Formats: sequence, structure tokens, C-alpha cells
Amino acid sequence: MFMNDDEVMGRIRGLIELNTGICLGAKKDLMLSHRLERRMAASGSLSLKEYYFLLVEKDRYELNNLIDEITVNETYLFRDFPQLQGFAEKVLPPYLDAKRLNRDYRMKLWSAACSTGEEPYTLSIILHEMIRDYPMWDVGIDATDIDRGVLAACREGVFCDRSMKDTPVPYRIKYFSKIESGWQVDPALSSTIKFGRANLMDRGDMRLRRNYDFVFCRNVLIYFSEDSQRKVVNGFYDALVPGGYLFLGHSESVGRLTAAFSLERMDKFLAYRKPP
Amino acid sequence: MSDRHDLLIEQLASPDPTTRRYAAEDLGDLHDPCAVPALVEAVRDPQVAVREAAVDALVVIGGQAVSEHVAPLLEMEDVALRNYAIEVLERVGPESIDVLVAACKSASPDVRKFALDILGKVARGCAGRCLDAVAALLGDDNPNVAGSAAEALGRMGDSRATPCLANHLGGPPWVQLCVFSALSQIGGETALKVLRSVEVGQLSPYTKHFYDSSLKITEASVRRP
Repeated sequence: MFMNDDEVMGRIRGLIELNTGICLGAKKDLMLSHRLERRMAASGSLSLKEYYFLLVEKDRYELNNLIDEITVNETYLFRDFPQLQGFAEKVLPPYLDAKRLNRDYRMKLWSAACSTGEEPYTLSIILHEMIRDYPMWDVGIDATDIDRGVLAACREGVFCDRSMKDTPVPYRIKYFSKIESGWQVDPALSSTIKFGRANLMDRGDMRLRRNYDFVFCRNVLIYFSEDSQRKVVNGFYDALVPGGYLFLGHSESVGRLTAAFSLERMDKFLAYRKPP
Repeated sequence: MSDRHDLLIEQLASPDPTTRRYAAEDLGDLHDPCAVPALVEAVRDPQVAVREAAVDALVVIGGQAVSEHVAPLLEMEDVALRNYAIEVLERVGPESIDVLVAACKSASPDVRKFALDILGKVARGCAGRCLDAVAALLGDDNPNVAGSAAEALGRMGDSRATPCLANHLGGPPWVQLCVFSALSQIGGETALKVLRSVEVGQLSPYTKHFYDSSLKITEASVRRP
């Protein structure tokens, strides 16, 4: 059976989606290629086609290996729901009240390393839902990633079923339209988000980012060395307003990196606050 | 000194903590030893974030000049300041050794102990530069200092320390434990011979437990090819 590499890639994408629900659009071909190369080398496959037949003809062992490779960077809307719920219900209301008292109606968030955009859109939904006097506010979310490729996908605002799996149904109905290729976000959400490229390790880049009330950088630091983590976390500290919050992934911590933040425990999650 | 340097030194006194922090970071990037006194002063800044930036900058500049300016902080009552000093001296590495050897002669047992603890971490591979100074403290009146001297020698792993350790097998129990442990870390035939010379019957049950495990580790080190 003759198949060129594009066809084989398409079949592999289909195989992954069939087995995991993860939809890897053509935009993720580069990421998929890198991971396939690693698995091909590990399994001794000499061509993509040979590797594909290994996936379909043998037991699930190699398919599971590939799935492990693929899922590392997979993200979805409302990821780590309890933390977001804590942000929405415990952190945000008193923070908003304090701002209202000062007649300060600006709210600025940063979704650092936003990947394909699931986090900034989630944050936009939360702000729409939780700020009862929303029209009074000047809300802005900066969503950045080092990868220019993913930013194009972010701006498009179309998500597959897998990305939507934890999105509560009322929010799906309210903020998304079902289209052929997935779920299209409401333009009202997009209008508050500014996508751009940022390298968290670039000091000049980081210093341009100031006056954020909240910074979200979840499940990113785990891929950095400790020295780099320290630099990145210091950058977040400087980017926050006094009293602003940093949210990290549940397995990440600033404890070993800096003592500058105060730790706030909210039910089951931790938030790091820049002293007011 | 350049205008840039002067401006950054001035900014270390800015009322805006972020400006102070950036100034500290940028002074580090200049690698200018002339900035060291001002950065050491910034380690006392009221804002933790500025202090940490000053510590990082001092480490980036590195060298003996940094160690010399930072070492006096080991004597401070302020625990945070002492910890920053320890962090800088450790991260500066072997270039701190001369300053730490001098600190081994401090009148303060705390400073002697800090110096030994840091030496144990930075002098591995270049123990010759501080071996005598560290070994001399095996006989310190303060058992915490003497124990730290043994621990430091153990961490350095230099077999030239074995005879010095052998001379302190009969010290106070805490020092004994540290000496046994140090010998096991150094390992080798001589260390094993020293450990086997210990009169085991004289040891308390607790010390005996440590002795047994140290002996086992040392025997294994000898068996290893």
C-alpha cells in the first residue's frame, strides 16, 4: 500500500484521536513530528510508514508510549478546575472590592506561556462571570507564548471537543458556537485578550510587562532548570502590582526560589501574593 | 567608573523597589567589582525581592572581592542576613576559600561553624587550600564547631585528612559520631584501619550504632574496585 508521509501523519493523528480524544490539528504537525522522531528512534523504526504499521499491528505498548509523548503539552479549558474556582470565588471578590473602594476599575491579567489559548479564554470567561459590574471595568488579558505558531491558533479561538471537556455546559452555550471544526469562542471573550510573543527568559521582554493584578503560569516551570525558574519567578514578581497574585501549577512552587512572595492557602490550592 | 555604573548605584536608593531591584540585577550584569559594597548594602534592603536580587548580583560578580565584603555578615545577629551571606559564599564557590579560612579563626563559635559548613561544600576537589585550618578545629572547645570540622573534612573527601581525624576518635560523643561519619565518607584502607582501631566496648549504644554503619560503609568502599 503506497502512502506518502502526509497521509501517514494524517492516519497517525486519527489513531491518536480515536484512542485518546486528543485532536492534533495540522498546526501541531511540528510538535507531533518531533515526538514521532523520538519514538521512531526508540522503537528502531526506519521510516514513518514502518512506525505507523508498528502502531496498528502490534499491541498497545507502542501506542501508549506515543500517547505519553503527545499528552505532555496538552491543555484544555478550565484545566485544574478547583484552582480556578478558588481564584474566582475566594481571591477575586475581595480583590475586586478593594479596587472598587479605590475607584480603580482596571484589571490586568497575564497568561504566561498560554500555549493554544485555553487558559486566557478560561480567564476571560471567569472575569465575565464574576465581575458583576463588568462594563465599568477596563479588563485586559495579555496572553503570551514563545511559540509564534501557537499564537495564530490562539487568535482563531477554535477548540476541539477534547479542549472543551471540562468546560461547564452553561458556559459552552453562553460563550461558544459549534462550528464544523470545533467550538468557536464568542468575540466578546476575544476582545479582552491580547496575544503576543514573550520569552520568559528574556529580561528585557519581562521588564516590559508591568502592573498585572494576576499572573497565571501553570505547568510551565516544571520544564525549566532551577536557575531559570528563579529568573522567571523574579520576572513575575516585578510584573505584578503590590498585592497581586501569581498562580502556578499544582506541582510547582516558588518555595525554593524566592521568599519574596507571601503564601496564601485557599482550600486545596496555593496562591503566591506580592506583599501589598 | 562609568555613568551607567553611577546611575545604577544611585537607583539602588530609589524609593521604588522595582527600580532598586532592576538596578541590582543590572549591576550584576556589569560584572563590576566596584559595585560590590553597594550591593552588600542592598542585601539589607527592606524588600525581600531587592535583597534577593542583590544576592544574585553578588554571585554573578563573584570572586574574592565579593567574599571579603560578604563574610562580615556572618557575624550579624540578623538571621536572614547571615543566611544571605552563607548563600553568597556557597554560590561563589572555591573563590571563597581564603576568606573562609580566615573566618575559621573568628572568636565567634557561630562564625567558625558557618565557615566550616560552607568549606565542606565549596572545597571538594581543592581541600589542600584549607585542610590545615579545618583540621585544627577538630580540637575546638565547642563540640558543634569540632563536629562541623569533621563533617567538612568528610564532605571534602580528601584522604590526607584521615590521620587528623584519627587523632580525634576519643572526643565528646557528638564529635565521635562526626569523625566516624567523615572517615566513612573518605573511605579507603587507611580510614578502615583507623575505624577498626576504635575500642568498641567504650562506646555508648547510640555511638556504637553510628560506628557500625560507618564501618560497614568504609568496608564497602575498600571492596569497591
